[in-house]
Amino acid sequence: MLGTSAAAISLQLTTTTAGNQISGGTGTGYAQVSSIVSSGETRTITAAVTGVPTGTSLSVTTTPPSGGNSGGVLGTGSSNASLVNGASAVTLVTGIGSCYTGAASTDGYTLDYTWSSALGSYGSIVASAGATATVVLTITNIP
Amino acid sequence: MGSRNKISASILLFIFGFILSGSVFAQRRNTAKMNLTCNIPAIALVDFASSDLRTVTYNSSLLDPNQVEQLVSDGATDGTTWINYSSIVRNGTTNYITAEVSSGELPGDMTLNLYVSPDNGEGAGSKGTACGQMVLTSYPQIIISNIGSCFTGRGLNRGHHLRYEWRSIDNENVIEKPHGNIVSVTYTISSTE
Repeated sequence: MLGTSAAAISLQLTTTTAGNQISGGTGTGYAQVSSIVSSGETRTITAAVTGVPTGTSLSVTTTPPSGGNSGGVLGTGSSNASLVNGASAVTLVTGIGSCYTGAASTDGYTLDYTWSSALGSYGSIVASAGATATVVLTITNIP
Repeated sequence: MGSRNKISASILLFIFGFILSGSVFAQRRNTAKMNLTCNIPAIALVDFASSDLRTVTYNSSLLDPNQVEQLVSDGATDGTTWINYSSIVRNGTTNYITAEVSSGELPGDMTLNLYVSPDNGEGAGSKGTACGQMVLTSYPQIIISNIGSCFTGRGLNRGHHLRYEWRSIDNENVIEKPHGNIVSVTYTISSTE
């Protein structure tokens, strides 16, 4: 089973220095998991995204929990996985066995998002407030 | 007998339905959504980079990051000055930069010419179009237009090169000898919004 906090993660790209590129879009979310697997089975967590604003790019680094609320075979995370609008889901965590992460809003796998301006399409960036990008996480079986 | 079979079949169907619905319920909880709120404020920032400390100074007010002032003194001022900017525009709008003589008096027998080069190609995005050459007055005139979302990079050799030239009033001759006239030129970046 997979769950996340309902609160949105707020990201912003800007600069206060003339001549500089906009930057600074970082934020963190958490994904809670309860998993019981059959012998020889592992699970993965994948992610797919929609709504990333034009002229920008999004990536995520995923880290399994290590705190007292978690236990079992939590798998291996990944670094700087690129999330592209409408692309196939990318793998964030592999090798999940029987495990638990804890159920509090800051328990679970840590997802550190990096949102940045894309140099090649910088001219297509449009000022906006409150645009929402949605990341859909899925835990899947590998028999 | 017949009714017992019917009841058995009904119970079987009910149990089967319950198992199906249970497994569908488990599948729904295999996905979760994270919402990211993405904000990009509109910005319009301008500044100078200059290596010629002898003839030009500039200051930028913290209250007006969209405006900078350059002091232009006499003689041939081919000092190295570059204008840098960062711009993020709303849909359907652009930014532009104006220049005006903001203090000091333009002498009656001279003109102050400003030469603005095209963007130097650093940075990224939709840089503005330079006017080329402009005779400066105390009224703001557009020197760089149609600036979209972009950044020029910061420092010398980034953005547009600026060069000043004093000329005789008939614009025939370039005046290179010191003549003691000092004026301030203010550059302002604004939106068409």
